Amino acid sequence: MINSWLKQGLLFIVLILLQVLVLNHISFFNYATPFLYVYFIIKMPLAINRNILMLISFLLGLIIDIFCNTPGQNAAAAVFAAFLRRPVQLMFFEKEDFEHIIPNLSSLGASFMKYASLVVLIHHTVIISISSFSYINFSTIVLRIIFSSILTSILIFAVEGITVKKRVRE
Amino acid sequence: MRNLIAFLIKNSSWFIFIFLELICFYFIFQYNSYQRSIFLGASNEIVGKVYNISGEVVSYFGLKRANEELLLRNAELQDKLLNLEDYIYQKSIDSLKTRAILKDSVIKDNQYDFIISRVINNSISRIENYIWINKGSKEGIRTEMGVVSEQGIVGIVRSVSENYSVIQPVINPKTILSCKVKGSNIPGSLVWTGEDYRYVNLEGFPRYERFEPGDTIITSGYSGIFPEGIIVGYVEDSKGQSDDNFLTLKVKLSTDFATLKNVLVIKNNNKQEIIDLERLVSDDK
Repeated sequence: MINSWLKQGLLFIVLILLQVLVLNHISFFNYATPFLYVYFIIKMPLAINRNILMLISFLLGLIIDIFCNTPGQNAAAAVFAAFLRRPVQLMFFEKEDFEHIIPNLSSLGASFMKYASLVVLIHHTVIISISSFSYINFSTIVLRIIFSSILTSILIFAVEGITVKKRVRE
Repeated sequence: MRNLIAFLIKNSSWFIFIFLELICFYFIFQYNSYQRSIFLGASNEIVGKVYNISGEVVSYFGLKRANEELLLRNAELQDKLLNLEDYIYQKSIDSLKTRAILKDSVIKDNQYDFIISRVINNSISRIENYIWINKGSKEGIRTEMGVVSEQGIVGIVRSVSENYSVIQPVINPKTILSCKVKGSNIPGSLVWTGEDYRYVNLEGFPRYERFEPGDTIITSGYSGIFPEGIIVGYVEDSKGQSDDNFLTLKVKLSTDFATLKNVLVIKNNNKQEIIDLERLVSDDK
């Protein structure tokens, strides 16, 4: 249990550093910017208290905001994603799947992919809408949301793939 | 109370969600200049719209009051307008007086006085036309006085009551006036043919006298009714008379009798003197 919390803490720090130092500087064709830190929200235990999840997400978003000098934007998106995570997981997972403490690709398969993609899409919709904050260039915003979501999802699946392989090797 | 607490606990995630999002948006609008500017712009617009709508609604409540104020103001302005109209009317008559006097520099001061009057009834379509005015013997009007308007000659006072007078205008076949072409000294007599209230004929105009269409016809001043030089009209056309030594000029009257509003009655202070003199001459015969 403690080990798992430690793991989560480590993931928290790594994701923040990765996001702030590397991913924020990526902008594929001016459209796609990955926000991988949402992976932390996805990877939180399924049975976690919703309020605690939201508070942790808020903290996560706020720290990233402090580094990015965009106070509130990432925090708002992260809280939003954390709030909607429960309905999303209820959509895709059977009740018995909640026994799994941490959702992962290897044990949940396609439903994990759907779940992760939807959370990513929700998060990206909010974060890109807030940072654009107007629907003047509506098509541009939509394209940015779609491409960024795809990119983030690919990254998440890649990371999950690595852990799956690792487990297989073990 | 327990229910309330249960409610709060049951929906705690909603409250925490809303609370956290509020904090986030507070940060967004407080510390992000771009979002802040858009937020302020949008909020300004919304506030403006709300005020606009409420102003529109509230304006109806004040409508009655505003209406009363407008009516009051209207009455005030109407009053002012009437005063001004009166003032302008006085001034225009003044200027007419000046013009009339200037035209005839021979006239001594105060030989002619002008009595301002308003037309109360007017006919132009009959053969024998008359004009009624709202001043009479009380104001010093007597028969045989000349009447002019801002535009030119009108006629001669035919009968007078205490407060009203009847003018026999130029457009009455009974009226015969001594007139001449401006710049010439040969008088002719002005008569109305009874056809068109805009035109009169100047008869007995000698053939040898030169004139051009458009020349001004003025009063000759021989009768003592009108001072010399009051505009009658303009020459429009000419035709030979039966005896062929004289021309008849068709004259377009400068006075528009159809729209006549204000007239001036000319009072010749020396008239009695002239009449007395004439009587002396006729008595000598």
